[in-house]
Amino acid sequence: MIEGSIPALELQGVTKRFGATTAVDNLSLTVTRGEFIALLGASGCGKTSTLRMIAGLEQASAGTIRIRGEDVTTLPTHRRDIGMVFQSLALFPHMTVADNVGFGLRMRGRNTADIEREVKSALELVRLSGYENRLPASISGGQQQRVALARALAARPTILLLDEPFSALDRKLREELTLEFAELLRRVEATTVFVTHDQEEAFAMSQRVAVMQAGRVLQLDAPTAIFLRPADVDVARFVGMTNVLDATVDASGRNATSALGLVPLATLFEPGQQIAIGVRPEHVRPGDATGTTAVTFSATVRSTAFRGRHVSVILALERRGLGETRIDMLLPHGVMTPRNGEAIRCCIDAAVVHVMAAV
Amino acid sequence: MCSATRTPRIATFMLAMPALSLVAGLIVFPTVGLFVLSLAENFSPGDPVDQFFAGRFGWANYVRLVTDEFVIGRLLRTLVIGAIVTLGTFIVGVPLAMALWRMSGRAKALLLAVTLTPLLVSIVVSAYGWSVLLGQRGIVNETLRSLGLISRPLKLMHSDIAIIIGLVHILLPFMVLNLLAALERVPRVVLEAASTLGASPLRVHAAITLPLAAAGTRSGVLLVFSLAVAAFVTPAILGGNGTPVFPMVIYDQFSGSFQWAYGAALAIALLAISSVIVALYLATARRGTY
Amino acid sequence: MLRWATFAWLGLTLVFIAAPTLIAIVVAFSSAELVKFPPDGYTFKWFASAWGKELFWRAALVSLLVALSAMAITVPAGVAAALAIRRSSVATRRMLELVFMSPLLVPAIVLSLAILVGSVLIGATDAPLRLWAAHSIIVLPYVVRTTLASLAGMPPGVEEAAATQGASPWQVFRYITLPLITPGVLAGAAFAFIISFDNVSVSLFLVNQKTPTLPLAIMNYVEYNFDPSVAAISTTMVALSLAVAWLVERMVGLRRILQ
Repeated sequence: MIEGSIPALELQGVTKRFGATTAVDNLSLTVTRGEFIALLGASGCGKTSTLRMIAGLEQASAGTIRIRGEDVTTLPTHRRDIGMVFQSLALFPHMTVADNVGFGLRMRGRNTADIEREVKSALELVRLSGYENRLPASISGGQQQRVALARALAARPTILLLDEPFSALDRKLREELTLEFAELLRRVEATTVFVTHDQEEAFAMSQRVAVMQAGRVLQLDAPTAIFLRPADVDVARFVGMTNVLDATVDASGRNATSALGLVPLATLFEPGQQIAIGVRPEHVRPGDATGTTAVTFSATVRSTAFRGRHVSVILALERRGLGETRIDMLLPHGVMTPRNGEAIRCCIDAAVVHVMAAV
Repeated sequence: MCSATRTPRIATFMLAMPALSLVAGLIVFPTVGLFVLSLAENFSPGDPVDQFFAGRFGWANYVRLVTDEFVIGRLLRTLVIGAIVTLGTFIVGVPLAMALWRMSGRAKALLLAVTLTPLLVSIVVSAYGWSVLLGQRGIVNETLRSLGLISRPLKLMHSDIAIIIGLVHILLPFMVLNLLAALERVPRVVLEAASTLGASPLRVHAAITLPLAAAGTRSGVLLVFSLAVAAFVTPAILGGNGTPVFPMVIYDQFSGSFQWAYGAALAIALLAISSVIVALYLATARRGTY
Repeated sequence: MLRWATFAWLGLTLVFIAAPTLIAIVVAFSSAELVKFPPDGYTFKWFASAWGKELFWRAALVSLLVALSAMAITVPAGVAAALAIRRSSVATRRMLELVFMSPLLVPAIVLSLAILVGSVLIGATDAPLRLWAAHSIIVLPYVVRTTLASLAGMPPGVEEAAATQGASPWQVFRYITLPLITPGVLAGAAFAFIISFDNVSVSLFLVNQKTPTLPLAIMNYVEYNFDPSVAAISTTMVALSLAVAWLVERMVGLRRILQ
């Protein structure tokens, strides 16, 4: 860390308990200025509780929260310098778009001329110039979304918080707005914490993603790292690396034995160590070995399903003594779809074998 | 549902204070006063207040109440009338509630508005209307006469029949609203599922709607019964001579025989009975949370 | 066949519900001296006659003043109470709701007598005061209910959104909550007005015989007079009640208040 540069947001040991349940468990996180970070997880993982604690809408049971170095753990919401976009948008129905967007500035005591100016530029930013006098009820869902963002950004808060803002929109609108917002926020260099359960969204928009489960951060990393090199089996399953197999490191320390056979390892491991091998379904290829192949095996096709973009195939791999192991395979277009019951040969490249701690 | 930010307890308390004071001063205190009065054993209304406190106190009035044949008789009579009224509102209310349940939009709003008119219009207006309808030369009698069904006018006004009709009229909205609320809590989709499984409309209602709406029905019945038993104005205007119902007996103690302490005891007794019914009602009525 | 029977029964039910009110209105316009149905002719004279009687318009004034003064204290208290309920924990909420609904649960005659006795005990036997007190308390549940319904009807999250925008709790109330619940509160106040204006049972023991409220004046008049003046007054009252009820329905919906 460069001396003198204070992180925009710092959570240390933040915990939230509701009676006997722990929603957020000893969570620590640092967000630098201008960074876009996503809290990703299924419902109930604690991501929304965390966001609300940052906003001050809920009180942490333990731990500290610092915004730009200042301890805000017990500071009421309206005194924290934040902007928030809610899942339900929560636009003020009785105020015009301009009044909505200018509300934060008004609360901060800015004069009318300033407010007008800032509102204008905020609306320009979200491409809604000219909508000042409209009422929220008279504009479309996508437009309401933009007003909500403009409102959150107008007063240039230190931190921007987004609570699953796109969940109410249809797929097409979502995709459009996701990219637009990401680009916009990068341009204004807003420090953003974004909560979502949608992986694609999180990966597309963020510089770093925190995968959460049961109140804990399982992995905090760049999207590609999480996708290709999940930290543990839970993250792996979450990002779709569904082929997770137990393996034992052999005497040489450079290979591991598993249901797939002998799997070469990229680095040296302790002989006899128990590990888990992860392979993404799209990395299982039918056919014979090539120069980069590390593992080959034979398996029987149990079922196939056409899913539009890919064909998903479930294979059953039989190994004496180990019973039947399920392997998932994802085939793109152009490759012949095997038939049920067919026995096929598959191979996996060395580069895509991912090693994790044993379960 | 969640309100804004963490709220200090003291502010909440202060917000509730004015209304709480109103309730304390205008419900709790007077009721306690009434109860104290009911315990007075040698009080007459003309006595100055300090003499009141110097007097004797005991349970004499309640003992008298329990042994007073006339009063107990009137009480039972009132309960019977209340039961009949409740049955009447139920019989008339069920078809109406079911019709409303099936409607939507303007028609429903209009029908609902009509159903609620007895509540929106003063009791005196309704009672006056009934007196015109049921009087010796009122509409009902004149119509029956002209149709040749009767030769002499029926005595409908100033009778128990009139009381029952009047009370059913006033209390019908309460029954209908409760039933409607109970019916609306039945998820339509469950009824649809039943018909896909082969149940005819009648069986669907018998096997699914009725049991599911039962709770609301219970609460409606209890509410109407408690209101019918405690009704005063309608019986006073439409009822016969004397004191056909218990509340009128109470009234009589205060305005007729000037037995205030006894009257207070009767009033407390009515309150007790009503409270029991209301308590049962609250237990069965599922209120929405705000 | 069943269909027609159902329709017929429902029609009869509706006639039953509307009959007394309709009769009163029709009689009010009939030209005969004695109450007769169907009327011989139609006229406005009973309205003129009724409102010409000092007894009636004075009573109307009393009712009006009592209703307005009851609202003056109950509306602020009730709105504050609703806000308090909303901010409370679930358990406290139920208790408070019960407490504020209690006037509805006490038999009217018991309440009237209790207030009478209470007022004698503390020596405050002034009739207007007693009426004001009694009407305030019976109207409270309606105001609390409508306000709660309004609060629940606000779009979710707007108060939190305002807080994140820097609005202090008081500012949230002033700029967001209050404007959004005002229609509902007004509706509740209007409904409270009808309830108070129309009330008989609670006013019975507490009025000064010389200055009764309008419904009581009607009751007294009917004892000795049989002309349709009463019908005329009643019709005016009905018109007033229905107008206010329509207003309430437009704002918040009558069902919300009455359940």
